[in-house]
Amino acid sequence: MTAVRLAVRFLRADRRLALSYLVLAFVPAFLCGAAVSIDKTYQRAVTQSVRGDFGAFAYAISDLRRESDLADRMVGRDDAVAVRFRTAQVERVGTPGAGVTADLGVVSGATHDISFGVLIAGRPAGRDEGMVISAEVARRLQIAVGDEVEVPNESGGGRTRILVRGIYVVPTRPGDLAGYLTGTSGATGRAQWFSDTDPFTDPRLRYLAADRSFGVRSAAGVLADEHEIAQSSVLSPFYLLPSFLAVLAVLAVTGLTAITRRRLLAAARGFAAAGGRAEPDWRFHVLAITMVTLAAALLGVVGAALACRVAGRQIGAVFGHYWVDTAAGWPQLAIFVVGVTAGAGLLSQVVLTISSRRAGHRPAGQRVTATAAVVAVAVGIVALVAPPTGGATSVWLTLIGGALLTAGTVVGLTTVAPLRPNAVRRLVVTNRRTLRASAAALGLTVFFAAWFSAHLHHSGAAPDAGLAGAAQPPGSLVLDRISHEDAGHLAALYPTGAARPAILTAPDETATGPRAVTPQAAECVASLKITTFSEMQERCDLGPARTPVNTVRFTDAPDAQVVGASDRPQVLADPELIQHGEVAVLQIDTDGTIRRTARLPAEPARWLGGILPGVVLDGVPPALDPFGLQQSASVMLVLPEFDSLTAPDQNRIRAAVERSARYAYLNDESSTDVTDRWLSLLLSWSALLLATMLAAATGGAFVAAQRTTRQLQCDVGVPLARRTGVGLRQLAVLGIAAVIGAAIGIVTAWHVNGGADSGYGLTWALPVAGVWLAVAVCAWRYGRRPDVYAHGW
Amino acid sequence: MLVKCDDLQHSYGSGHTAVRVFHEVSLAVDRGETLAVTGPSGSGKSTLLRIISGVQEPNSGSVFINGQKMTARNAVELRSKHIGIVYQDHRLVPFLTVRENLVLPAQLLKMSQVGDAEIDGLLSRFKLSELRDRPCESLSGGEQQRVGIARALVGGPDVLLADEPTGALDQTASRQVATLLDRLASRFGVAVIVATHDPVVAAGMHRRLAFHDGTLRDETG
Repeated sequence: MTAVRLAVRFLRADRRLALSYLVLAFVPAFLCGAAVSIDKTYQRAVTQSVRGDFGAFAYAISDLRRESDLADRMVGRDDAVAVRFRTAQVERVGTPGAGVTADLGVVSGATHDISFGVLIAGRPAGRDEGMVISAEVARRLQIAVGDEVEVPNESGGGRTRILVRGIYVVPTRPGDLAGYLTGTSGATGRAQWFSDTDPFTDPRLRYLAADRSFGVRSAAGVLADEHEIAQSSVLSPFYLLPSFLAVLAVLAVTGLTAITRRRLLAAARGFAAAGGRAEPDWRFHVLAITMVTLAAALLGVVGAALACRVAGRQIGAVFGHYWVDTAAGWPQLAIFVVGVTAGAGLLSQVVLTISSRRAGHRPAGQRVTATAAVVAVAVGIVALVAPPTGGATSVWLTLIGGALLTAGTVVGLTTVAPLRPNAVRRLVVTNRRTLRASAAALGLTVFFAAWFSAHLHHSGAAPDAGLAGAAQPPGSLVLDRISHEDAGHLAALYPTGAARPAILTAPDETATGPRAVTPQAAECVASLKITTFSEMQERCDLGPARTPVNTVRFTDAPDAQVVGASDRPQVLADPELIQHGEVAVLQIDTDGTIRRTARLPAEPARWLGGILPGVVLDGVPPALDPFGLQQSASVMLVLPEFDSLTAPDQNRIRAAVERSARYAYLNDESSTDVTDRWLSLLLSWSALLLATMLAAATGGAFVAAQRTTRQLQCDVGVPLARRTGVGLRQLAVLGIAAVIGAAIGIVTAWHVNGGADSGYGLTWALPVAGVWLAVAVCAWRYGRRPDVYAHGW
Repeated sequence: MLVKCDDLQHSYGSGHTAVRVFHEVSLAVDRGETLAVTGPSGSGKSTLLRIISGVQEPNSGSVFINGQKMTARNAVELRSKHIGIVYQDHRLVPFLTVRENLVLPAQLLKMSQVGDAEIDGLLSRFKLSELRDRPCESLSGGEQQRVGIARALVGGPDVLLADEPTGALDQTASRQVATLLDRLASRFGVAVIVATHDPVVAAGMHRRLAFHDGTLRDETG
């Protein structure tokens, strides 16, 4: 009731000023919500595209058409690619083997060169006419480097012969059917990209638009490579980082502009006096707050953009697509924020020193200036040289980054003020409570950051218990804890003459993990009615692994790919059905009988796959494997007689291994495609908590620093803002503004993002509230001065 | 009479929480006359000056400037034409030079009659010629107040209102300002009304009025 009375009193006294505050609170909140809305639509389409959920994807196309223009204008879209899609039959020509064909989807007219994968034979086509094809394309067409294929021209008339100049593989997509075509052949513009799947479901294109009315779908897309796709879950709490940055930037800019604003006030009052007016009126306050807000927003965007760049992400991501690196990017972001904060403090300190000298006063806080300079330079260096590593290193770097963030924020914020050498002590003495609360909040923040990061990296794959004693012939290359897909791919790379690779999985993974066995082993499993993996290892010949493993043909589902044996139902991927957005649910009985039990749309099947224990999803696109079962299981790959391979073979495999390892942490379910909804929700809540605490902590430290600054400024005789006692009315209106702004932002974000259903609503809403809390703190500082405004001169 | 106040009464708030500032305040100041208004803090000195300048309306009573009654409608015009205001904290634009600060009112109020000669005359009269190109923020407090008074005189106002003009100055500078105000009245016929705590400044004025319990008493002589 007190607040209401205060609010009413204020509104009666200063209607125009109150209105200005409310407008200032409303507009940015509304824009914030709108931005979230756009981003949400975008993310939804991306998700559906990534997951290959074509049917669900269709309804978002109208949105996407509108947004494709936006994509074209996306800042920093260095890897954006505009393409057209058609189907075509690629045919092998020449002898022997002429006439072998493969139906592929052809994405043509690419505006940028597309490169991905690892070259395993031949050389890149470069500017010469030619094509580099995937290993799977080569296998299907039975061609090698030097052979030729014919591709129908895009115009529809005639076909063009193209020389195959290289063969590549994508470690995480061993079954990829793609061709990279360059040159000036009639079949293409600059490049073509062949795919066996509808490009609209291809995860490498994360932004697509279609125009079905013309029969040819035009796609404007941003080509995403594997690790970006792996991070594409919209549930990733890392999207919140720009919000964190915004909060910090607001506070940093607030400090930086404090001096400027003081000068602005002096100037405004001077102009008012000269102009025959008693006081700068409410418009000045609107202007001042607007400037602060805009400056904060600008710095926030710039900071986030630079942070993304430092972390190796796209700058354009800041505006429409918050691609922030996974845990590897955390430390760098934290370090960068520290640098920005300390830098802002340093700059303001320099400005104040200069102005103090010009005014004939003794410059204050030189030691702090020097400290801030050292911190800024140090963190700058660290930010530049810090490697984007994953795994446990990231956890530690996050801890260090969090500590640096804490220290840097305090240093930066206190440096904003013109403090004398003993300022820190006085700051502590005069603001014990505030600082204690801030320290507690910051401590919790660091704790949650660490917990968050640690959780990301340790909640994934189960340890490979039981593999330690596995047979490892002398001279073998043993790759432990690699993904199932990588193991299959690497095994496929092994040269013909060498001993066969062995892919081992831990017995304790038999319940939920995919099986990685060879066709021979699968046949053995079926014939002997083996039900356990360990029994299979004992009784079956694993057979040579020359091709991607897990190929078992079933009479009633000839194209289905499944492996292993289980007495539980299994969801199988039937390529034909998948094209229609459906999957088949097959059951493998204990006697080995395969029965088709259901034919489900993709979405229920996805849930079924996640709900039923023991369900094995294999050969299934990630779209139908929402819980990342394929990726969650790690296996051990034993490459026997590796030492005896030729150097080129060894190098080739090592290159593939390195590439796999590079993406290993990204392929980990927990750190990348966070699809477990409970985990995601938990993480989101953690991030929200973190955001709120961070805002509160920095706000508290800021207020404490400012309060002490006023005292110290009085001491050193710098002409200061007067004692700006915060009037209750001022507090009331700011509270109203903050509440309204936050409420609008929260409600908008909540509804647009699906509320509590998905966790998106909270994920977005609370950071918005956090930002507005920070803005309110800033506005508090920039509130009107009752002694001046209320009937003052 | 250049400035005339009739039975002014003013209070803050309303109802049972109303605080009466002053009542039955009447005064008259003619050209060339200087008047000091003294009294403890909160007695209503500044409020009286704000009412005379038209910034604030009294609860009751009237203010006449050069024979014209001050109303909400003509307050800005009367203030621009007849009244110059000197502030305790100068209120100069800190990053503009002394001369620019003096030119500013002429530009903002579109005083076509104010030319370079008048500005230079003011600079010379207030011994600011040597400081003309220095930014005001680099001046001392006394110098800034001189600039503030000079700026208030741009356009040739008839009345100069000064609210604690020496509040931020040391004794020497205060004395200089007092002398300056007195000279303005005697040489240029400006009516000067000063609200002040400073006995030095008050002693230099022709008349002294003091607030006691909400009423104004003449303490001259």
